[in-house]
Amino acid sequence: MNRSEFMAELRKLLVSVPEEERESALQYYEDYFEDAGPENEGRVIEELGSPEKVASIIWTDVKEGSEESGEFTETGYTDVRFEEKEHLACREESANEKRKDEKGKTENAYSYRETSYGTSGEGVGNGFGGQDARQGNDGYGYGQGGSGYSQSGNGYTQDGNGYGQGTSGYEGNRRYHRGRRASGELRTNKTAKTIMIIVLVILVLRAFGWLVPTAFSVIMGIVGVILAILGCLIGFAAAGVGLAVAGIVVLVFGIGGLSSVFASAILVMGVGLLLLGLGVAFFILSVRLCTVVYPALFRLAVNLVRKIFVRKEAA
Amino acid sequence: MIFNTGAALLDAIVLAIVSKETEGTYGYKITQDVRRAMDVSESTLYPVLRRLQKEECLEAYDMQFDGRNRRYYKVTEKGMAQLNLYKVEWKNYAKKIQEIFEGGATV
Repeated sequence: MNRSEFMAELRKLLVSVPEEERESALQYYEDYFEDAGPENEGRVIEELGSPEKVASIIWTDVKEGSEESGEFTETGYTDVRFEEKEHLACREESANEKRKDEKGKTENAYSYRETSYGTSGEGVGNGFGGQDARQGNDGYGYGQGGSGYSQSGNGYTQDGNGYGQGTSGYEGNRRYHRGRRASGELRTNKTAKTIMIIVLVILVLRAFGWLVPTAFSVIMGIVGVILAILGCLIGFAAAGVGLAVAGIVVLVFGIGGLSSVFASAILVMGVGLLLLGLGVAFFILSVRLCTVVYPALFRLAVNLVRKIFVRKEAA
Repeated sequence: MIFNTGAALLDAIVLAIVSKETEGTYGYKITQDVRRAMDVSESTLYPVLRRLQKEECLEAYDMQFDGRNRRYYKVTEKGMAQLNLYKVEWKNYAKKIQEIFEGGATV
């Protein structure tokens, strides 16, 4: 990421910030890059962290500025959580240098939250008081957050600010632990997922137990229907052919008997022709069956099978 | 840096650094000076400067430099008063800690 990309991204992330604040912040960082000089551009970007981090810090600060004695925990929350995520990401890389740097960042984030509480003159005492408890702990800003909470006992009596401070300190601690657990949870989630998959397969196989004969019977039913239709078809065709043949024979007979009795001969001829016609009609019907009914039935069968499979998956 | 830098302490440090320059100084330089003393992230300084401005402990003015505008910060009277307050508090605080470390004071 280069400077212009960084600044563009930062601008985007500050969209929800009031315009004056946004422009002021962006101008500051533009000037910052300018003063650092192009040769330091990469280092500055690395040091600033990410546009997200910078935006979060600005955003939190703006929000806290507009809330005099409001929800410190809320803003401390976001700030802490943001810093934490980075915290964990850095930890993954597990470089000593990084850890040192991230510690510094963490401290800043943490101390940053106190800042808003120590705005007024009286806040100064608070800030220092809070610090007392935190000194002498190990470097983790969040470990200190725990004692920050116990400190809040004092802070509470002094003024609302101190209390908010302590609370967010505690929140910070909790957030940190949860963050930690989150990464652990991620790993267990993967194993949980594989376990779930195995269970699912077993369940499906178990379901399969009663499903197999049912499916078999259904398939057989479909086959039976197909055979019936086929039989119908054959029947129609055969009937058609038979009738036609009969018709022809009778016709011939009729023609043969033309010499003897004309009227009856004509009748017989008529019957013969009728039979012939019927036969041909039946035959055409059977052909029709082939071309129209068959594809429709095929489609029906496919749909049925698809439905069964979909139902299986849903289960 | 082992010890946590409280926000108030950060405010005090920034005020002290800016107060050293009679004509004021600009963001980048302030940050570099602070970082010489402690390992703070460069992104942390902006809110500090902004807040001190809002509290009227610092005032900002623009000055031409190298053909562009550069924003300078100067300590106000209120800022000086606040800084002195911080200095006194720090002195007491550091003294107490030192006593504990040296084992001089009886608790």
